[in-house]
Amino acid sequence: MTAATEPPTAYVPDYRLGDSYEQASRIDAAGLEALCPSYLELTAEEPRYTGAELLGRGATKEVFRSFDTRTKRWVAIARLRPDHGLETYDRFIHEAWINSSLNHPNIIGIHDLGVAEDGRPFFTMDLKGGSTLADLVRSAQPPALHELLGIMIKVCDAVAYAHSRHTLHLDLKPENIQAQAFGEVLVCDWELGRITGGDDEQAGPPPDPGGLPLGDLVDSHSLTGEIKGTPGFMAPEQAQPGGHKDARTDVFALGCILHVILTGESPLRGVPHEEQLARTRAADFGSPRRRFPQRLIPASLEAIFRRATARDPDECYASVAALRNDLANYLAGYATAAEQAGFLREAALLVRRNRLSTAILLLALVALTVTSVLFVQKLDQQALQTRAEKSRAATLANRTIELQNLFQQQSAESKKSARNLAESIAGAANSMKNLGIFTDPVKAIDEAGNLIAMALLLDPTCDAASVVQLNLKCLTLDFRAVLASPAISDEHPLPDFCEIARIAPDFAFNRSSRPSAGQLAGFLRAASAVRPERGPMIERAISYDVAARTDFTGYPEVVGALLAYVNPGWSEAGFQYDPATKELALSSTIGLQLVISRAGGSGKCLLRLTPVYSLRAAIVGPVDFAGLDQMPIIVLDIQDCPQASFSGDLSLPLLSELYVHQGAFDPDDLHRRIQAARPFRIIEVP
Amino acid sequence: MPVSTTRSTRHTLISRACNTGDEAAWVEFDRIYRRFITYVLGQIGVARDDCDDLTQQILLTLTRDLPGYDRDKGRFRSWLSAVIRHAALAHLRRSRSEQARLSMVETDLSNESRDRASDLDERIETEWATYVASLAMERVRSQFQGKAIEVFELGLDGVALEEICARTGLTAASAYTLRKRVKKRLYLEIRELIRNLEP
Repeated sequence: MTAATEPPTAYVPDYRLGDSYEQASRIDAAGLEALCPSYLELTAEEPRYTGAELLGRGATKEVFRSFDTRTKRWVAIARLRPDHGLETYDRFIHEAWINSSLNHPNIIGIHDLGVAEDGRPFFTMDLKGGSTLADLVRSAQPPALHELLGIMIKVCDAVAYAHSRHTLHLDLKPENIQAQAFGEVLVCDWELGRITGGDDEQAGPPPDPGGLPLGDLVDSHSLTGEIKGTPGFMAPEQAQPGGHKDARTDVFALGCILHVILTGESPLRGVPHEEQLARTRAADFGSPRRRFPQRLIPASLEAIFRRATARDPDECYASVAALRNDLANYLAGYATAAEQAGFLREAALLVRRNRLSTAILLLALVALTVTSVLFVQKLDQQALQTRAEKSRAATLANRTIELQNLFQQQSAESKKSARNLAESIAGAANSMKNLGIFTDPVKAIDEAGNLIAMALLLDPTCDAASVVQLNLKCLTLDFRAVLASPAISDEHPLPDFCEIARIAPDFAFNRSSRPSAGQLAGFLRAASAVRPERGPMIERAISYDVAARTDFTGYPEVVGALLAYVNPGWSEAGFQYDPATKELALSSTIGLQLVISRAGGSGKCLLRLTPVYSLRAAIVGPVDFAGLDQMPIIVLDIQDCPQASFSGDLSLPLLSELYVHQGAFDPDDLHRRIQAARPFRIIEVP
Repeated sequence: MPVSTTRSTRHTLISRACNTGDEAAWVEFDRIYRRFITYVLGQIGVARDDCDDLTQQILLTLTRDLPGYDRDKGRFRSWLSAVIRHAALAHLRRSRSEQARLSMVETDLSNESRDRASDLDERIETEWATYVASLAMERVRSQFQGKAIEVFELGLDGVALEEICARTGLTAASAYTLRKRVKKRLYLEIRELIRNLEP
């Protein structure tokens, strides 16, 4: 009677309230029902849980679907099986305590734990749709692999969390994982769960005891001589009486769940019952890829499975987090630690996960193409030849789209290597170079060089890229780099580049440093002796040179040498240029090619490389002056060219006087063929 | 298979205090009853010095007899009043005879009629009703903010609704709603107290 010492607090009655007592106590049930029906219901002395539809029966528990009349929701209520007696009560309660000490979105939640009217313990928990991972995997239309791996990652999250609370599950299997649509994943059935001493290294704060008799929990399940778990998901240490269990025991089971996801079967499916324990102890599960070839199991996932179920602790994942990271890496397209990826695999994955950046690269290609097209259009606005360039641009644009499609295909199939993409980029670089070399050579070579660098980054061993790179070096006259390139070997001598390069092995020019006109002319003369058939490449190199160079002193000599290279047997002496008047006297005893019409040539007049306002030609052999198209010639004298011809129309915008041999041409025809800005005179010389 | 929890809602304060030996429940039960009995004894005229002893004595009686209380025998209030009346009158008789011996003043208590006894019972019953309602009101006060309590108390004092509106600046509808809400709360609290304090 301790309270007797407590003095009562002063009480001041409020007699106004006297009637309230009468009124309140006189309210009948109906009045109260109207006043607060819900409260009345809650105070009613009724069974809290009603209805009991059996959902499932496990080794020790039965789970029913029940309605909680207080919280007004359906719950799952777990009760001990009727054939389990008093000796199992505590274990059952510990399961509920262990489970309710874990608060994680992917671990089933415990609502209530108590003793039922029959004196037996029960607990209630979340009631979900009822389908488990096992049901999903074995359903007629199982979810896609990446969805199942998503579930797997959530399970890993839950188990990693439990481990951080020093709690092991020890009976992880697809049947114990509830998985619904909308990504709800719950790890259930912590019946074999146990709390570890907490002295292991994977630290984290110790679990808040919260009244949990930890010591009891630790001891109650470590009965030696008992083997608990599910064959096929049990770790070797669980198959040995008294085996030491730790986080890796759960990792092992997670590995086995991955096996089910990959193959649809437990690792020990089909193994006779009596052999299962022995196989478990040996962790001998074989290769899923070999056992289920029709499943097309990715090698990296098999590697994860093997590592999770490795016997040797050094090979095994040290923690669930490590396993989870590998699964996440696989999903995100990174190489997994388990597969020990080589460079090619890494590169392929780089392309796969950088869909965006690769898309940007492709967009850049398209942009470059468009820019080039616009540039070409602007440059050749007045020229009919624009059409040819346009069609080339269109071809490149198509090529780009093809490339994009190819890439998407690669992304989807994820089977093709970075090599293919590198080769495609190299092809695009080559097209870029070819497109721009005669219109904007410096930009074309620069951009092509960038693309090649990308291609070589993707796949340094890409031959196509190396060859394009050699080509680019040739065009910039960086022969030293060509000869030093590792792409050239005895196996691949690449004489087209090498023999040219060996003519001037000391040439190491680039965009800012150019050879003198004399050096260049000398090179051309030597080249014509060694490789006279490389006209197109030579023309490109000169085209780049003209664009990159700033000092044109003595440059007509180069043009003469180029013309001589293209016309073997013709002497440069027939090329007389006056820099002051920009008058060129061209004489020849043989026919002359003014244009490189072979594939790869510009199709333009070689003389365009130096300004010629007045051209006086004395060419005895056949010569086609249609090649003068686009030249800034004001005065053209072809009266001494008996075999002169015009194979097509041409545009000479500045032309004012044309001297021809009387009777050689029909003046009207000439007026039709030659377009000029203003009317020009045709002077027929007798 | 219906499942009910063992800790039924019927396990009220009074049953926990008197039947199950729940110490905390008994302390709470004792506190509430002691406050009332002390007050009533004072009203009846028991000397202040004697109140504590007599209260203790009545509480012991209550603790002893409450578990056997039969609801069918009549209202709990009447029974409670009778217990307090008997104890008080017995005490008064004792102290008056002592006083008589000391002061030689003879007072005849035998004239106390049945009417006086029932008057006293009625008074104690009213005090109990007021006590429970006042305790309930204490709880209600803490549950409302603003002008709700003020409106309700003005109503208790018999102030007309129009006047209440004028004094509080509330509309008739608001005042009416507030008063009703407090009243409902008060009734619920009273019922809850009755459930916990009366067998």
